[in-house]
Amino acid sequence: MTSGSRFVFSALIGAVLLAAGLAFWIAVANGFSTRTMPTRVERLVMRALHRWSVPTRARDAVNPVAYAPEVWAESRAHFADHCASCHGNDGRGDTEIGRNLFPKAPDMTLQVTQDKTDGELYWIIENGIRLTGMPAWGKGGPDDMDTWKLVHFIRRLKDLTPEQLKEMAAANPRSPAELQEEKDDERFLAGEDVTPASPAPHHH
Amino acid sequence: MKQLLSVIALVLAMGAGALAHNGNDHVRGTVTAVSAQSVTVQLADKTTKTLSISAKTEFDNAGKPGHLADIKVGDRVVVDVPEHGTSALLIKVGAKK
Repeated sequence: MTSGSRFVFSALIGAVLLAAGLAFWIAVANGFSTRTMPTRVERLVMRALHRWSVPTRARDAVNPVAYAPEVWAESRAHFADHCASCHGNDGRGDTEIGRNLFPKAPDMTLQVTQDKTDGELYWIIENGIRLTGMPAWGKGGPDDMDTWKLVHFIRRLKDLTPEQLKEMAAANPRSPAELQEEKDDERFLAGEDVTPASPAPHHH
Repeated sequence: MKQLLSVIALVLAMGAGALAHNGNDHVRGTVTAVSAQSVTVQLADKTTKTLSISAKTEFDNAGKPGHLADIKVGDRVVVDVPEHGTSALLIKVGAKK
């Protein structure tokens, strides 16, 4: 290596180190927040991890549960109770938790989710996704029929009617404070004197 | 990893209850004014809040689907609004006496 090329090589290494140091300093100075969108690099890494996390045999699995209106109704209730806190009843992820997770809960009506195979969706529900807010809900086996029914639900997100969304909202989990608030609301609307309007419940 | 999953599960469990109303606030009071654009409600502490009405606002009249015309001055209402917001998402009207 000539002295000239050695100089260029050293300058390049120095520039890379300087950029890395600057990026590190900015990151440390500003801290990290889950409010921001993942960077392009983070998205690439996450998508690759998602792809690799599902074994080939699981990706090709076929839903053993035949679709029927009863299956859809059952899966709506299941989703409302277990999944909607993060994903929203409509699967768009527009909830307080979903918006503020890192990465955000996805809009599952979009192709990114809908392009996944039934087997991939099943695997993700059963096994979760590492380094995200998605936990493993099942035992990891291939035959959890409730999970397969949820796959049917995800496939039909765009078919949900306003009435069905209302039914799901009624099935969403409630804290004791919120149950009490609802009772107070009903009593107030019925004309009873209710303890001075409760302050808005804490949402975190 | 087990610790991370435990923390995530705990956060989700805590958050699940807090989202019963999908992060909405409730405004409970008596109607003092109503128009096609807004409803003004007097709260228990005598302060008032004016909440905007849009095409997306839903109405519940004593447990049944309702309309803007169901709301009269003097009615007791409970209004769902987004947290820290003033856009009425759902207005529940009490039974008339």
